[in-house]
Amino acid sequence: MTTNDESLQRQKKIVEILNMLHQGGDFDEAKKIFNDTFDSVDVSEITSAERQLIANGLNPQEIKNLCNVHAAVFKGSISNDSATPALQKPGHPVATMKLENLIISSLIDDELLPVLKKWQQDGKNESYLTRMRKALADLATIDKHYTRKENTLFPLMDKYGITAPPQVMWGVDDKIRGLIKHANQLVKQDPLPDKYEIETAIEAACKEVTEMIFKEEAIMIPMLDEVATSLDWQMVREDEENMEYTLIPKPIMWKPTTAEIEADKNKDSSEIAKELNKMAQNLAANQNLTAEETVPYKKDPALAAGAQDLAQAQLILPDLSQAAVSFTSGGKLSPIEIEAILRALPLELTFVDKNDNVKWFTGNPNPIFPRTKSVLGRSVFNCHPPKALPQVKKIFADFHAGKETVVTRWFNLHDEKFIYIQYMAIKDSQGNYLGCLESVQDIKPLRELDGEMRRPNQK
Amino acid sequence: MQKVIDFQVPIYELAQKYPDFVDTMVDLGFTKIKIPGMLTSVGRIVNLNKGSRAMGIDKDKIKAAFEAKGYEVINFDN
Repeated sequence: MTTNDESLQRQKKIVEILNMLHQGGDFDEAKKIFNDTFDSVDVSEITSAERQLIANGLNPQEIKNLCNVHAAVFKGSISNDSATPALQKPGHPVATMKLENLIISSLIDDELLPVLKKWQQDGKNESYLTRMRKALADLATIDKHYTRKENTLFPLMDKYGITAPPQVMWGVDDKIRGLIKHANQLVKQDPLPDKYEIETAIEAACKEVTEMIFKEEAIMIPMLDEVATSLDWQMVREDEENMEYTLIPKPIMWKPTTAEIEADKNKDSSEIAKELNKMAQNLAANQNLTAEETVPYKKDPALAAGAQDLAQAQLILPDLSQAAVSFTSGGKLSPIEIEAILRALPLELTFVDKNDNVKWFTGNPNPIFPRTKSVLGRSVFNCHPPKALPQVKKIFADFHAGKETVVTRWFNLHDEKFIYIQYMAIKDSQGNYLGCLESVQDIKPLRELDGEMRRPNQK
Repeated sequence: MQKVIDFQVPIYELAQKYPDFVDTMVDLGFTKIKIPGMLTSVGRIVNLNKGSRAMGIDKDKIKAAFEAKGYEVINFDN
């Protein structure tokens, strides 16, 4: 039997390990410390350690995030002989995608489809219908999984010249969203539609979701694994910070180890990676692209020239707080002021440069439409689902040709927001096209304004 | 020499080896194979076992089509 003192020591060690993981420390290292220190550990010891962490200021919500790590580190569910491949470590974007897929598959196979069957046999039982409605509402949150895929993984494929598959897959993602929406609508209709109609709709949605999981795990992820580096995956994980997850708590902040980053440098490019990179280079060299083909990233020649000049002379900037941009209106703003002002605007801005590549966005927390670091430098055409492509191409063609300068769109979003979008052709003082500025705004509050308010508390 | 369709070999390699492979695939319903960039990317990762599942095309149908064109079909997972 351990003495109080030993218990305290053990508890301290567990807290240390959990803290390390919470700070983004390496999973394998944590496992090693654990294995070196403990033969076995009691669940109650872990619970005490967790309480200790909370007492030291860890947000109780964060404990949930560590739950899958506990399972792996303390219950030894990962084999102890070799280092865990990065893609399997909790918090790695691929591990997260697969975890969500596991939960979604279970939702479909263990809840939705069995309950659907029971309901068909015993329609009088209201509880089955209630469960179906809940399961379908949960299934609809797959939108978050797809959104992350589209905004962090597709740009990664794009970067390596794999431009066609994302376009195809995005179309199917949208089709699935439509099928799930349709099924949700049917089960909420009053009066309820024919049972057969509901069954067909639910089964269609479930089948497509299951097939998409297969495509993601058997095709997309292996393809990405051929080309993506540890630093790529790190950027993807960082981009996730502003995004949401489907039916799982927020994963821990995984970071690649220095060893993994080093290994990338020595990695012999696989045949596939070499071929894909060659293909990307060929595409980039080819200027005559048809409307059907997707657009590769074009490097700005002006930037390349500048890079050579800097090699000879050093540009010395004053301390950032002193540097300022002088505007034609006479005012000056520091870079810090510029960023703060842009962030404070009730608008979400995105700037696409004159080569039609995404160059900058405001970076509001919780944006209406996700913006990730991964999309910077990508062609704007590859950042849209195939359905939207003809319209996007027309807007940019018109802007380049000088036929249009502003395009406006407005629509209801989930009855929660009313979206107002403006696309503006940006030109310099000589009228040269610089790029396109997209402004996204929720104008629901504006549309609800009534009367006047010149002073506070005015009726 | 006997023409062989190995269901475990990436589709890209089969397309390189047999000139009539792509058209046969399109006829079977693998419409995406003709989209520029698909064969050289996805095609290097996907074989006929995976591809038939991904596109929802009956493997027996694929086997029959190639056998009808004089191919021997192997590694057909059942």
